[in-house]
Parts: sequence; C-alpha cells; structure tokens
Amino acid sequence: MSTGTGIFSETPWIADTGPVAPALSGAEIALKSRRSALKMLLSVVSVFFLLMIVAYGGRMLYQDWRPTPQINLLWANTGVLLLSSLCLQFALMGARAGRILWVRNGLVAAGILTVLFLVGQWTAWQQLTTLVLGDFSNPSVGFFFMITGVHGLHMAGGMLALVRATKRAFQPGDTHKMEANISNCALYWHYLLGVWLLVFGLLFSGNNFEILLRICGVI
Amino acid sequence: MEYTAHDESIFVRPAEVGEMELYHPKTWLGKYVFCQDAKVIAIQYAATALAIGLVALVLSWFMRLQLAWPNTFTFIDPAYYLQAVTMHGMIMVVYLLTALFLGGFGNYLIPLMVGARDMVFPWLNMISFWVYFTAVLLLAASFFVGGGSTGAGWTLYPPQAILPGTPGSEAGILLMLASLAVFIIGFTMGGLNYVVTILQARTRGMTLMRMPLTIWGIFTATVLALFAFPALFVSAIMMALDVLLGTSFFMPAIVSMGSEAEHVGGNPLLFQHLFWFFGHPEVYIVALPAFGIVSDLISVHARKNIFGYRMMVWAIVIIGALSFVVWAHHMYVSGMNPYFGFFFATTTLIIAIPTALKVYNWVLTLWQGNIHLTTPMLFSIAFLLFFVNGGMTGLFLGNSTVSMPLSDTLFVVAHFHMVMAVAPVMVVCGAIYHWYPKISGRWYHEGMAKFHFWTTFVGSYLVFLPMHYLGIMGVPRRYFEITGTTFLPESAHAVNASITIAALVVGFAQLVFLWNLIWSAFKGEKAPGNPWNATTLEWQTEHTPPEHGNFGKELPCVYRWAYDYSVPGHEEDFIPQNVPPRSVTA
Repeated sequence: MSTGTGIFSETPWIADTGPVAPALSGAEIALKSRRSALKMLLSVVSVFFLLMIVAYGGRMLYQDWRPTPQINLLWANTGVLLLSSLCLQFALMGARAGRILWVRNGLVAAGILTVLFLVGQWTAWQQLTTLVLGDFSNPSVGFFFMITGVHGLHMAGGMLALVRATKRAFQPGDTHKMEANISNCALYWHYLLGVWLLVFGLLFSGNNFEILLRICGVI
Repeated sequence: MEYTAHDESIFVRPAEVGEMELYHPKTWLGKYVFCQDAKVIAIQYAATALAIGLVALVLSWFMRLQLAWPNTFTFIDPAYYLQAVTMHGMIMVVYLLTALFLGGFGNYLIPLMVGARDMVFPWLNMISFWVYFTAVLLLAASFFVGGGSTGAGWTLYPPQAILPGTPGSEAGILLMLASLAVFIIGFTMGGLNYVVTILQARTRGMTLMRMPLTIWGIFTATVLALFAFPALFVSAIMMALDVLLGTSFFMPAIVSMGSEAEHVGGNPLLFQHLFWFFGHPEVYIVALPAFGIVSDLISVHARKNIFGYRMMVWAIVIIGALSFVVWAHHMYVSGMNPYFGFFFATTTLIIAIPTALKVYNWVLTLWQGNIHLTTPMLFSIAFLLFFVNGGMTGLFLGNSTVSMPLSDTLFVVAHFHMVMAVAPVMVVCGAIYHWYPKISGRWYHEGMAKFHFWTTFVGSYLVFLPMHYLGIMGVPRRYFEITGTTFLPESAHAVNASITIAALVVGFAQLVFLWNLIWSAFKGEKAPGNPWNATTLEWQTEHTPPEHGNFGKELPCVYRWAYDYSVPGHEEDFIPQNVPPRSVTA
C-alpha cells in the first residue's frame, strides 16, 4: 500500500510498491452491502423523525398549545410492538443456534404482532377522531396523526421484508444462511421500536413539556 | 514508456477479485426501458433531466420577455409570470441539477471510476429512476390542471402558497408537494446505492484517498442529500395535510379573501426553517459534484496532478458538514434573535475558507500546467470565473446587515444564478463534452461545441453581471412589471431589455448543444478509448462505450492515485491508475 493506510495518514501520490490487499468476495460484498444500506437508511429515517420531534417541540412553545387528548390504547400497542421485536430476536437466536422451529415461530409471531400493532394504531386514530369531533386544526392532533402515520408506514414497509424472510424460513435450507435476512429484519424492528418508545414517551404519553424543552435546549 | 495494463503476476494474487452477479436482460424492454445497468440508467436520468430542464429554460424566456417588454405578450399575465418563476426555479434546482449530477453523472461514473461492475443494488437503481420519472410526470401534470401549476415561488412559503389568490393554490400546489415527496423517495433509493457502492464495491487498491475527486464530490453530496431531503419531505407532508385535512402546522389564524380561514395557530416560520434546512445543503448538493468533476477536468486538461489532493478532499467534506449549520441566513428578513443572526452569519462566512482553498488549488493546478484549451477545459475555466464572481457576492449576502436591503432585489437573483446556476452548468457542459467520447464512442462536433461555449460564457455574463447593478439600484425580484416607478431611471429598463436579448441568445446556444449531442451520436467521428490520455479507470475499459459489467474478465487493480500526470522521468505524461509500478518504464 502507499505510505500510511488510514484516511488521515495516507499519502495517495505515492504508488504501491507491495502487494495490493485482496478484495471481498462477491457474496461478502452483497451481505455487507445490505447491512450497510439498512444502517444508512435508518440514519436517514432518524433525521426524518428527529425533525418531526423538533418541530413538535418548537410548536409546543407557543402559548396556545393544547396537548392531544390521552389515548390509553397506545400503552397496549406499545406492549404489542415490544413483543413483536422480542419475537424477531428469538427468531434470530434460533437462526444462530440452527433451530428452525424457533426461527419459524419467531417470524410468524412477529408478523402477527406487527399486524396487531398496526390495527391498534388504526383504532387509536378512530378514537382520537371521535374525541376531537373531526376537528384537526389543533396542531398537536395534526402531529399525532402525522407521526403515528409515518411510523405505521415504516412498519408496514418492513412487513414486506419480514414476509420474504418468513417464506424463506419455510423452505428447506440451512438456518445460518437465513441469519443475515433475519438479522436485518430484527435490526429494523428494534430500531422502529426505539423510535416508537421515544415518540410515545415524549409526545403522546402525558405532559412531558419540560423534558422536551430541555431536549430542545430552551431551558 | 511501456505499460502492461494488467500485469497481475508481479503483485496481485489471482482469483481474489470481488465479483457480483450481473443482471442479463432477456427482452428489449429489459435492456432499454427497465434496464438495471447503471450506465443506461444514467442516460435515462440525464435525458429526463435535460428534457424537463428545457421546459424550465423556456419558462425563463417568458419571464425575461415580460420583464423586458411589459404587457407586449398577452399570454403572460401576472399569474402566469409567477407560475413561470416558481416552476423554473424548482425544476432547475431539484429536477435538473440534482438529478443530473447525482442520477446522471453518479450512475455513470461511480461504478466505472471505483472499478465496480455495477451499482450494488441494480434493481433498486432501476426503480429509483422510474420513481424519479413519475415525480417529473407529476410535476409536468401540474401545468395542465385547473388553476395551473403553483405560483408560490420555488420556496413554496405558506401561508400564501395554499391561500386562494395565489396561482395554483388548489391542485397545483398539491401536485408540486406530491412530486417532491415522490422525488425524495426515488432519490433515497438511488442515494443509498451510490453511498454503499462507493464504500463497499471499490476494486482492489482503490482506497478512499485514491478515489478521483469526482467521486468524493458525488459521495459527499449524496450523503448531504440523504440527510437534507427528509426536511423537505416532512414539510411537504405537513403542508399537504394543512391543505387536505385542515390541520394547522404552518397555517396561522388568518383572514383570506375577506373570510376567516379554518386554520388556527400554525407557524409559517416552522416551514421556513424546515425548507432551508434542506434548501441550503441543496446548494452544495449541486455544488460539490461540480467541485469534484471540475477538479478532474482541470487536472486532465492541464496535464498536472491536482494541487493539494488531501486538502481538496477535506474541503469537500468540511463544506458539506458546514452546509447544515448555515440555513437561517436565508431567513434574515423573516426575523430572528440577533444572536442567531450572528451565529448564522459567522458560519456562513466560515464556509468561504474551505471554498476559497479549493479555488486557490484549482488555480495552482493550472499554474505552469500544460494547458490544453479543449472544450471541457474552457468550460472549467469559465466555471472558475463564474464561481469566484458568485462567491464574492455571497460574502455580501452572508452578512446579515448587508443582506437585508439587498434581500428582495435582483442582486440575490444575480448572485445565486452566478454561483449555483451558471457555475454548475459550466461544469455539466464541460463534463458532458469530457465524457462524451466514452459514453457514445464518438467525438462531438468541435465547431458547434466552441460556438456553444463562447455564446454561453459571454452571454451568461451579459445576463447576470448587469443584474447585480439593477439589484443595487433597488429593482425588486418576483415583480410582474416595474414600469411606472419613479426611483428607476430609463437606463434600468434598457438594461433589462438587453439582459433578455442575451438570455434568448444563451438559450439558443443550449439548443445547439443538445443538437450537437444528438447529431454526434450518429454522425460524429469515432473516438478512441482514452482520447484525453486520462488516468482514471473509466478510460481503461476494454470497450468504448463500456459494455455491461464495465471491465473485461477481471476487474482492474489500482496501484496509484488518479493524478499521475507529467510524472518526472517518464516519457508519456500520464500513468493510468491500474498500471503497476514495475510496468512503468522511462
């Protein structure tokens, strides 16, 4: 390699005088690429949710702020999402241990629980619509629909990958080969659970006005 | 000097080359329409971007005709004028320049320049283009709906963007928002591909610090876009909900057309913050690929290694990072805490440091170089002049106290067209001429190219230099007409007319450019594989144009950086990146 190998110390104007490092094999490239793309995507999604939370916090500062009416169903939905994330972790452990039953049961349960979560969120929407009598002009209500809607869409999008991984799990094959896909699904689910806990905890589980102000650096 | 291009026996252990399975189309549709080859996708992106860009060019002619000879052209009424302003701005910034630099040049150059067979997710890449195409169709559809396209200005500021009285405040604005959202989804698919390909599919020996600056520019701009576009996406969703569901994210309680609107308590400034959190990095999403490409063009055509390569890389990265903390300098007149104003003015002026560093390095690369005044080089030099000009006026506008009186005048229009429109377009043209022989396998027509250059270069100066003076005189921007004002002398109107004539001539030159590209693809002289004697990998392919898979049986192996030009002690004035040291003989 040229003198120095780090991005800071490399002197690229000096040509190689020794062997060139071997490249990754094609299969390795594909596996690493998917994981990297997922991590990059999750970073982009983080910015997306962060901007919505900051916008919410910024809007809260105005004197006419009226918080969203409390919806208790959201607690149950949170529990369901937590369980679906655990099931995916269980499936991943099964893939690593070579236990196909764990994989299949974990994936199917995660799928069913995710659908249940989405139905629960839809029901929460109906409840809120009834509570505000169809008047969406209160900004906090608008934020509720937007943030939960966008989160739900991300979950629904993840279902496409989960269905694919589940179909694969019901075909004969080595569980270790399924590990990468299941691991990506699990990462996505854990991440969206984290986002939901943040969103629910901060914005929709009660009056956390002071915490938000601290996060936004106002107090 | 003799080269042995693939002398694997000396340093490289065989059979360790990273390979990927290539997509092989079976039908005509699969090969030319839903193609997964990044090079075909690049051409699809470029053709679509140039087509919609042509529409924006014609819109600018309409604006200029009205400004030069008010009320002469009856089809241009105030609403139509505002719609033309809006659509021209949005199309040029997002649908032409962003798509062309990242979707067009990114797709063509990334795999070739880093030594990969293709993008790492070819299917996603193909989908990315068709999503972009859908976004363009949605945008174009807004010309034909009732009320026409939106006339809210390219910044789409609420509340006026969605209030009755603003052109296109019904279907037009919704189609614009939908189109932007779809564009961003498509871009995210493409952007993930570009980033992961650069990080993980580089060939052996292609370390990050050996990548050509073109790739560094595209890479950093893509990362910027991935993190900046969500702000536009969020604001598009929120504004659409304000229109469709009657939410009040941005809409305050307001009396519109004599009656009280249903909105209460929205915050229009929130939109401005979100928009400019995207909007300012957008400047660099366009500029950074241009910076990268022009660095390579200057180096190749001056036959010199780029001056200060590592500095150039870090300058690109630092400019990209700083571009996220300057957004509110677009909002000085919107009102803000003076401390914020001070902060944003300071960060804005700090960006001048790495930017000036790049300019010095370009000039120092030219210094005592063996400069070949080819068409790509002419465009590169023109870029430098326009960029320095636009950059200097940026120092005026970055300073909040100077910015306020100039903010709503043609000075701002002149500034950003110099720095963000003409300068990157110079690079686009230079880059197309530079890579045209590789893409098409034929030479462009030199006479038409020179005509295109000189007309565009001189004409663009005649358009935008006098515009600064009009701005300083106080000529406002966005106005349908400025006749009947007492503070403007007759000469201001004469300058306006001369600007319009120059703009029409420059526009005509672009038609000649497009004709040259089409004509030369069929009738141009056959070009050799490496006509510029360049060092980067795209010029070392077995076939010109490169076939699907880019390189022959084996991927190239990289032994050196991309700038070994005029190396002392060597007969020829270039050493390609894939030439092993022991194969280079004096």
